[in-house]
Amino acid sequence: MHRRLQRDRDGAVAVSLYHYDPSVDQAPRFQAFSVPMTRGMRVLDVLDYIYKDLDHPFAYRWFCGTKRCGRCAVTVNGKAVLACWEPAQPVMRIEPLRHFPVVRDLVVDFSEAEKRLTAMRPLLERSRDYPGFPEPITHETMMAAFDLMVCIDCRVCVGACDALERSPDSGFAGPAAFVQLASVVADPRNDVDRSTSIMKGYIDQCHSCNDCTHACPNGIEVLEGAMDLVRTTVIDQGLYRVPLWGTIRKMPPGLRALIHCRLGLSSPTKIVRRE
Amino acid sequence: MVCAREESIRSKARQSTPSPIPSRADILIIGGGLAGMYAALKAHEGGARVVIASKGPLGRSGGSIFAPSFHQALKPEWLGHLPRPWDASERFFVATYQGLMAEGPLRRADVWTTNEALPELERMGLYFHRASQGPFKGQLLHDPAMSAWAPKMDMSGRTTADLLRRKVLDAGIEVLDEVMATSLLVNDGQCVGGTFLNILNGDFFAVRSRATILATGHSNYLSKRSNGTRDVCGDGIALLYRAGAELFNVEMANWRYRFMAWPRSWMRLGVNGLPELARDETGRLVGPDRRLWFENSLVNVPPSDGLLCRKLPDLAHAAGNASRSSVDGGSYRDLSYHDQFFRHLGLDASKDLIELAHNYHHLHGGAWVDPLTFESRTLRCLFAAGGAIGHTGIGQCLYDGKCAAEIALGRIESTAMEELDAAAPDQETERVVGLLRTAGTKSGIRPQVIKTRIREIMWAKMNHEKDGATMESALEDVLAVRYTLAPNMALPSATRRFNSDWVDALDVYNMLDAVELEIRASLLRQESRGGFYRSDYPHQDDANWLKHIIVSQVGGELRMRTEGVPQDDLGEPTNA
Repeated sequence: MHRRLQRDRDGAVAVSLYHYDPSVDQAPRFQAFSVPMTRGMRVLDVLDYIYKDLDHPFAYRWFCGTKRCGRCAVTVNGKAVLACWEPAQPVMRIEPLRHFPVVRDLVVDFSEAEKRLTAMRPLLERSRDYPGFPEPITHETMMAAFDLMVCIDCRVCVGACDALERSPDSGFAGPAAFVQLASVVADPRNDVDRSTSIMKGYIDQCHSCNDCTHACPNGIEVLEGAMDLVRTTVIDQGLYRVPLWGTIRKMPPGLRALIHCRLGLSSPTKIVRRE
Repeated sequence: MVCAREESIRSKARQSTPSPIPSRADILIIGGGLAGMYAALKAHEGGARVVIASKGPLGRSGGSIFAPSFHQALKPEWLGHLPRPWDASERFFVATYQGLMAEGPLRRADVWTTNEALPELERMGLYFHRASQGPFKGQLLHDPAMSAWAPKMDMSGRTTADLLRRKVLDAGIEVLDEVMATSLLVNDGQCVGGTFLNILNGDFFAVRSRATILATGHSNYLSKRSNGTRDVCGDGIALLYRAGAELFNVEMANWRYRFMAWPRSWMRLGVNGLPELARDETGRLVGPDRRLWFENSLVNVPPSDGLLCRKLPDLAHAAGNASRSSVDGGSYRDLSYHDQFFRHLGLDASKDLIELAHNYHHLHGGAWVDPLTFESRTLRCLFAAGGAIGHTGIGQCLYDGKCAAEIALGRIESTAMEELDAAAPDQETERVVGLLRTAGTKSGIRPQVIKTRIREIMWAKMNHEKDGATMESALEDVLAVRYTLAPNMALPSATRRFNSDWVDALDVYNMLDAVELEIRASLLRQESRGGFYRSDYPHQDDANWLKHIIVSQVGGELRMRTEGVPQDDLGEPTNA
């Protein structure tokens, strides 16, 4: 249980920081800190200040600080964010990223997610011979894949995923894994079918809430660019049926989210074959 | 208030997946960047049982993720115009290294990158950015330096590392992720493996190997403003030194000028547009009064960042500028084309000035190896890869990894696995695990306090501008840390789970070794050369100092010697 903290009127950040060491603690607890606000302060700067300047030990992950390593995702005031990208706010409750087991404090365990991603084989597979460097591709044909390749695998989208929030044990692989796979599916050089991986990732669990897209720190169109792309692949293969998919796919994401999630008017879908 | 979600978190945390601990490998690779991962793939393809350990997550940290491009790797016929002067890359590297590198190894790496690496990576799926006009994006039209770009977040290293990580995992190679090497194991002049700490769960163990490739990188977080990621704290230097291996040119640290002055967490964000090879965009620097004092089309741009670093303050002074530019900041950027990071700070790059500062970048020295085989000249079966002979760049790192793997594959055929006790040696176990006994010591110093102190000493006294007096003072300060502060380190907790303070304590000892060696070697080199600059000896002195400085530990004592630079392609040393 944590106490709500007053905003410091001198421009400091009031932080309520999650602590939990499963090897010694009975339950998670929160501890309060006051951090002076500095110019351009990120959440990571706040965490660094607590660790270093306030000399308070706790576990958190970061490596690059510049949105490249993709390893500093946390939850701030209930929202999944990348600590190095997210601006500090005057009052912050900082917790670990949702939907992953906690190792300690803000550090979560990605190992099962990594194994799952590896099993999906997000790698280019060519059935034709490689023509030699430079191969005859254009940026236009690579655009869809290129836009997805900017994914740094930070898993903020997974933390934000409403489907996982409602059904944490559904077997859904989560959006990040599908972005990685979609960057291969969208690659014109890839000509090996990925339907099995897509179905084994339980793509049908995605209910188009679009929270993943809103959360992505790199501005990737997660729903339309990745989830819908792989969903269309398996629908076209006849493995999965979504009534009126052609119409649904053309709707603006906000409207789809309203219909499918907020109003609960999901159309019945049917899994034809998963393997 | 306990809710279902909190209970679910707790129960998931209790079900930790036990990680099997490997104890044997044919080829052990320490370091999970470009060189290490590529070496792992090649060694695996060669049939070896490979174990690769990475202190940060594999392919996600270290200098590799900041590498911008494949330097000068494109052939003229791929671009449809411009003659390809091989000497363009040589001009760049000769200027940067100023004679300390034999041309042969550099040229071999470059040729291999162009002819072998680019096709292999593209075949694997790397996308080399095509332009809408002309074949490749990123070529510089008015300078014959033609780099290949496969960028993600403006960095080709990150995309390449991503691909290699997936390939390593897909191949089923044994990966020790977020596992820190604490020592190299040596038996009778041969490297026989290493000891490791699993940062996530606190397991401490040894891995025996027939051959070991050290690929820990050369971009270290040793100074207050550095480009090394959080994890890279001079570990490779310390591992080598403690194992009795020789190192070379640990004083040849390079600085870079163009990084965000604030916020602190964005310290490693480089702002491009300064004169850079293979970039069309130009850069201009102004004082806070907006008076222009540098524009790269107006000056004769030196072909290397090291020289540029030195030249910029001179230019600033010559222009009589009011910028009061210094290493901590005070130089301002006038940009109109950079975007997302500035907007995210609420800055409008078309109107606002972007403040920059200067970073400790990377080292051109490291393990003293044979430039043909990449094997340590001191310890058998120990290889180094990744800037191992002083060169840098994505292609060069991959080349090192390839060579080290190939030679190691050959060596292991005639090398038996050392049949020593599979457990870690007692002394190292005590050194590492014994730190947990300090937990809760009253008036103990938390290790991160000492790491900060070391970085502040380096920033204040071993900056790009330094002289004998500041260096001697830095050395005194570092020795004071080693003998009076470090022995009083105490961990706040003895937990085994992601105990950052425990890692910080080990980092302290690695950093102390790395910086002490850097300072001592810097004092010895009485000249300036390439990126290495000292104001009391500001000029290059080939007559006396066209030499490598070699350091090692012999019988517990530091030994420093010099060796002449090879003048031929085979890398045979001349008499000093």
